[in-house]
Formats: sequence, C-alpha cells, structure tokens
Amino acid sequence: MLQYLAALACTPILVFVLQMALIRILRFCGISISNQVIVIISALAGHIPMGAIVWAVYLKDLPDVPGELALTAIYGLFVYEALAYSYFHLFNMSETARRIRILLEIYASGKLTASGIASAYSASDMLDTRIERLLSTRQVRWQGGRLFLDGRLLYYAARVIVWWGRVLGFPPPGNVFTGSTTRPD
Amino acid sequence: MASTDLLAAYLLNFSFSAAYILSYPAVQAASPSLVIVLMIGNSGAEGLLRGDLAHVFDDDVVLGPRIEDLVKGGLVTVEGGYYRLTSKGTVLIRFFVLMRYLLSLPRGRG
Repeated sequence: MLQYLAALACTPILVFVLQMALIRILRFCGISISNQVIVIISALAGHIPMGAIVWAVYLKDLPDVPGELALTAIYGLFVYEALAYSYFHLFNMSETARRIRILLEIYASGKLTASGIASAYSASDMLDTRIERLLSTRQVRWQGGRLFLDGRLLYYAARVIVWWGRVLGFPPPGNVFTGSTTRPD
Repeated sequence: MASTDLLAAYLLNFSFSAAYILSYPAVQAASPSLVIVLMIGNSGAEGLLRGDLAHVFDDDVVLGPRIEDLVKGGLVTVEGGYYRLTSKGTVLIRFFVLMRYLLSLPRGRG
C-alpha cells in the first residue's frame, strides 16, 4: 500500500520527466508544438507507465474481493489526475503568469522601477503573446484581419471560471480590465 | 483505521487541494487569456480586431495590480521607487528558472 501511495505521489515528477523527454524528441524531429500542449500530452502518456507501476507494486496482489480492484484503481486515477492537473498549472505559471514574468525581469536586472518593468514587459507584448498562444493552440483564428473563436474548450473553461469568480464574490474579469468596478484584492 | 489508510486519505486531500489552489489565481487575477477568449467568443460572427482588445489592456491594469500583489505577498520590496526581490521571491523565481533549465526551455514570456 505504501509503495502504491508513493508511486502516485510521484505523479508530478513522472509528468515532468516525460515532458523533458518529449520536448527533446520533438525538437530533434523539428516538430513545433505549444509547450502547454506538450505538458497535456505528457500527462496523458503518463497514465501508461503509472498504470504499469501501480499494477506491479500493489494492484496485482490485491485480494479477490468484489469491487476492491476497481475502487482502488479509481482512487489512484483521481490522485493521478489531480496531481497531473496541478503540475500543468505549475508549469503554466512559468510559461504564462504575469507575476512570474515580472519577478523574472526584476531578478534579471537586480532592481527595476515600475516604468522599467513596463518597458521590459508591456501590455502590448502581453497581448501579442497571448494572441499568438491562442492561435497556436487553435482556440482562436485570424480571418480577414479579425479574430474569431475557433476551438471552444478554453471559451467554456473561461465561462466556468467567470461563474466560479462570481460565486466567490469577484467582479466579472472584463470589468477588472475596463476598470468599471474595483479590483477584488 | 490503519496508518496507510490515513496516508491515503491525506494524499487524496492534498492532491485535490493542490488542484484547487493552483486553479485559483486564474479566478483571483482575471487571467487575460480567458478575458481575450471571452471577448472574442462573445463577439460572435463579427469577430474582433486586435485594436478592440488593445484598448482594454494597458500597462496600468495589466501590470500595476500584479506588482502590488507581489509586494503584498512579500515577494518584492519597493525602496526609493525601485522594486527588488525578497529572499522569498528569489527562492521562488530560482525554482522556476531551474525548472525551465531542466526542461531545456527559454524563460517564459508571461
């Protein structure tokens, strides 16, 4: 049992190692894919080695009690998915978070004024980076000089997050940027 | 209840808590990517020009509140108009620098 739990707890390390390997393989093959998509592929691929490991260390020896194997496997699946999802967000912070980018700029310079930060990382840069990222993940598309929704996954995720923010008492995100209401924090 | 059962309950609680906590910043800080997708999605068949998005995002709303967050969170200090990393901020950023180094990726673009 302890080995089963230890293997599951190592989920972020497994996804990280698979991501390291996949990045290098794709680079060697000259294939360019969004870094976020690579993490998702790594997390999905990780089901196979994790499944093999937990089977070998624990599941194969479970007593023949009805439902025992299924329930234990479902527990493992929940833990794996939650930890892989957490790793995805952790990686995403390094990739997309404004706060991490600001910290990086200050770290690289030693010290910066507010205008120094803005010149190193402007709102215009931020917007272009995000549009480029949304285009590469096919969530939006350019057509006739205008941007249109393409994939629906992030749009629906955004709607869920807006709903969640409302439940917690935050203003709608559009209002935060247009300044039509006060910021939540 | 055996100690391994308690450990199993703790691991499940930890993994779900981590998933919730790491999802929270997108709600708290109004992720620009989600706002962009919502604006484009809500524009329907009309679509949006880049300029329609550009006028919503300026340095004051995109950077100012996030710098305040870093100061409030004890990751950055401000002295004489200059922002510097605290030891906590330095540890955090070195973790991300190491992570991306091991992944053989350039620094994140934010």
